[in-house]
Formats: sequence, structure tokens, C-alpha cells
Amino acid sequence: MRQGREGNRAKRSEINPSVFGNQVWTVKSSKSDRSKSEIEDQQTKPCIWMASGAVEKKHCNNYFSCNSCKYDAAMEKQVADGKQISWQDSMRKKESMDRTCRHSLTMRMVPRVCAYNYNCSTCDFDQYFEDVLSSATGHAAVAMYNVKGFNVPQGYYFHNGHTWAVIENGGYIKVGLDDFALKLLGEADALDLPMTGMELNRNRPGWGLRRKDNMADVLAPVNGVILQVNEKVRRDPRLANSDPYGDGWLFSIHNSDIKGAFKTLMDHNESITWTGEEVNRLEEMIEAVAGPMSTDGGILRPDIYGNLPGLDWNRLTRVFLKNN
Amino acid sequence: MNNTIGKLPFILVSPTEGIDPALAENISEAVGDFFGYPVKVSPLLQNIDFAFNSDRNQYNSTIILASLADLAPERCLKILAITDKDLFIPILTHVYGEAQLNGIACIVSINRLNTDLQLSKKKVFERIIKESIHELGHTFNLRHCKDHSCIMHYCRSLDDVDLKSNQYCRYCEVLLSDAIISLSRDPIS
Repeated sequence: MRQGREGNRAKRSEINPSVFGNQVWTVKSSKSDRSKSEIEDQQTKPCIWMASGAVEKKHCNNYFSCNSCKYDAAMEKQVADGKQISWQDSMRKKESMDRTCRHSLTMRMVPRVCAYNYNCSTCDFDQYFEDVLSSATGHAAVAMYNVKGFNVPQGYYFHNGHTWAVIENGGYIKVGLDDFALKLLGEADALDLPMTGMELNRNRPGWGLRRKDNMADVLAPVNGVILQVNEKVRRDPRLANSDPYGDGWLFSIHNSDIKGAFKTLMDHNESITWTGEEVNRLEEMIEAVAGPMSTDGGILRPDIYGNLPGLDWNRLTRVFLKNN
Repeated sequence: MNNTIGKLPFILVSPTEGIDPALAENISEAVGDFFGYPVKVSPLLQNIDFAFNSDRNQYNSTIILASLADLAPERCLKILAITDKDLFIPILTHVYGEAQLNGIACIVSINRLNTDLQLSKKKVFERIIKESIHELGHTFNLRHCKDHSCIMHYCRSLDDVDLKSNQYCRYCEVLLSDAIISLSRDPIS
């Protein structure tokens, strides 16, 4: 998080600045989270109670979702009973420049100093962050693996209907279409995204896309309730094609059992293997339409459907999006 | 070599404009040694601008192959065109080469085979020969091979090209032999 002037613009991983309280705010993800964003890695991150010095050792195992954390609730009770110093009071003992904002302590943004003495309930920035900035924050650079011409990022989990899900600090899930599906089907004319508050059921059609007269249902990778929809990508679906794992995210979801939800998805190694198999399957379909390939070199260009009109839209979406 | 060909069927190496004649000669020697056929070097189609696609700033290899096939001289068994232009087919970003499967013509582009200035000439030549033998293999009706070390393995990148050997696997070798025997029984017109 940075505060600055319009001219002091953000880097690529930052979202566009917002003007709030006569100040310009920009947010970027913590550099450390996405590069080690496997669930196991999240479990090694210091809890806000540890980061503040209120307790000696405690690592977060709840994706920095303090509101749903049993440990946090128990500690608050200890504080109320006068048996434990609160993390806020522990932070207040530090020098002013070491008083890090709670959103930085929970790794949801780069270090920022608290200017409100940890009275978060009256902090205008806190409210603005939760309501507007947090889920709109782009991803920091992730390790990207290229599988036969298709990108698979580390730390993302895949559903075999070619959607991805990633756990964000704060305990919510972001969802999008994968690079394979977007390159296969090309740029959609419209994305029929769900409304905020709508319930998604895993393996059931959760939203759709349209390209001219062709429609395709897309299966939900996990259960949950829609928290926020990416309005930018709704307005301009091409954003999904240009940055499928970053600014092209589709919506965020709340699921109270994140660990359970992600057990059904493919982890990184499984996703790599599966994507390679999907490319092989696609190449077989291409050869069935265009004849055996007698070339060498090169990878499939984006908009495979558009570049090879003999491919059948319904068959492609049935085979790869699993939307029978 | 040209004078010794006589009336035997031969493979024609056809450099387009911009290709060093010495390179074409070296390719013809390597191809001749590999397939055991006489090889002739002759610029059958020097200018390939007719296949240029301005949207992609590349040359459509399939269109070039059709023209090459039309120009095939008498007793020409296979045509291997060599170009320095960047080639493509619509669904792929680029190709190092393309062939008419079980046909007469194939083409190899050296454009992307020498992207590293630090690379030795020997290494670049190895790549060109691998691609030439791969594409000629297609003209003998060989398909892509799943064996990563086989020269008929489909390569998406130069790393893949460097990883595969300069030989057919034993299965592709058998298929190639069968194709050559079949050709000898049914000589070209």
C-alpha cells in the first residue's frame, strides 16, 4: 500500500490509484505471498498475534482470515478477561514507524504504517480497503510454468473444467478461467458472470461465456457464495485473455471450509500433468479436423477455435469445459 | 554430384533467395548421405513473397509447398526448400518447417534456428539438418513420433530440437524403409 500523488504511479502489479479523503491510494500485493502461495506455505506465515509480539510463536493456518479464526476468537476472550495483552496494545508499544498496519501484518499488502493507533473500527482506510481495494488487488508476479504453450501458475489450483481457484490472504477465493480455455475459445463477446451473493455449487454450471452465437456454460470449481465480481472483466472480457491469472480474475468466493474445498482441486504438479494431457487431446482433435500435422516448431496460437473453423464449438466445450 | 545423377530419381534441395549457396550444398550432402539418394541443388522457387501475410509478417508455408509441388522437375523424388523467411500455418505461432505428408514437397526455415548469436555454426547446422530430415520424413509418410529422442518427434521449441537425436527411432526407421521400398516398386513418373 502506498499513499502518494497521481504522478507517483504504481507498478504493473498495482491496481489503478483511487482518490479517497483527498489522498491517492494504490495497493499492491505483498511480494512474499504469491511466490510461496501453496497452502502449506501459508501455514508458516506469522499470525498477527505473533507478528505484533503479543505471543511468542503462532503461525497462521487460516489464510489470515481473522474473522473466521478460532484462535483469534480465543485470544480475544483472553484479552477481555485481562489474561492477555491484545495484539493492538502490543503494537502500540512499538516506535511509530514500526507500527505496521494490520493489513500489512496479515500480508495482504506491502508495509504501511498505521496512522490511527490501531483503532481499526474508526479507520477510514481500513473500511475502504475491505470494501474496495483488497479484492481488486492484482497479483504479484507468480512463478509461471509453460506447458506446451499454455501457462500454469504456481500456487493456483485447477478444476478439470479449466477453471482455477486461488486462496487470497484474508480467507477468500478468487476464481478465473485458465489460459488453455481462453486460448482455445478465443476472446468472448460477453461473460455471463454471477451476481454478488449468488451461491455456486461445485461441478455445476456457475457462469457462462458467449462468442457470437456460441454459448458455453462453465462449471464452478468450488462451492461458495459470490463476494465480488470483477467488473472490469465483465465490461471487457478480453482482459481475461490478456491476463488470465491476474487482472483477468472473474469473481471472488466465500467458503467457510477452504481446506475442504481445495482438496477436490488439482495442485500444481497435478495441474501441470493434466494440462499437458489436455494439450495432447486438443492436438488429436485438431488432427481429426485438419489432418495429421506435418510441421515442426511453434505452439498453438490464441483463438484456436477461430483459427481452425472446422473445430466444433459444442464438442470443444463439452470435452474441455465438461459442460455436458 | 549433379552430373552423376543421370536418370535416377533424386532429391532436390531448393534454396530461396538469401540462402548461402554453400549452406545449400552442405545440406544436400548431409541429406544425400542420410537417405542414400542422389541430391541436386537448384533454386526452384527463389522468391516466396506470394506467400507473405502482412497481418502476421510471416510466410504461409502451406502455400509455398503447393507451388513447389507444381514446379517439381522430372524424376524429382522429393523437394526440400530452404528459406531464411519466418514461416507459419494459421493455428501455430510459427513453424521451423512443413511438409506435404506422403507428398513431394517440404520446406525448412532457418529463420528461428539461429536466434542466439553465441551459437556455433556447427550447432545451427545440426538444427537445420534435423529439421530437414524431419520434414523429408513427413514426405515419406512418417507421422510425429512420441519418442522424444526420435527425429520425428514434434518439437515446440529449440530446446526440444536440441534434445532429440538426429536419427529415426527403430520404428520410424522401419516405416521409412517400407516407404522407400514402396517408392522403388512404384517409380515416379
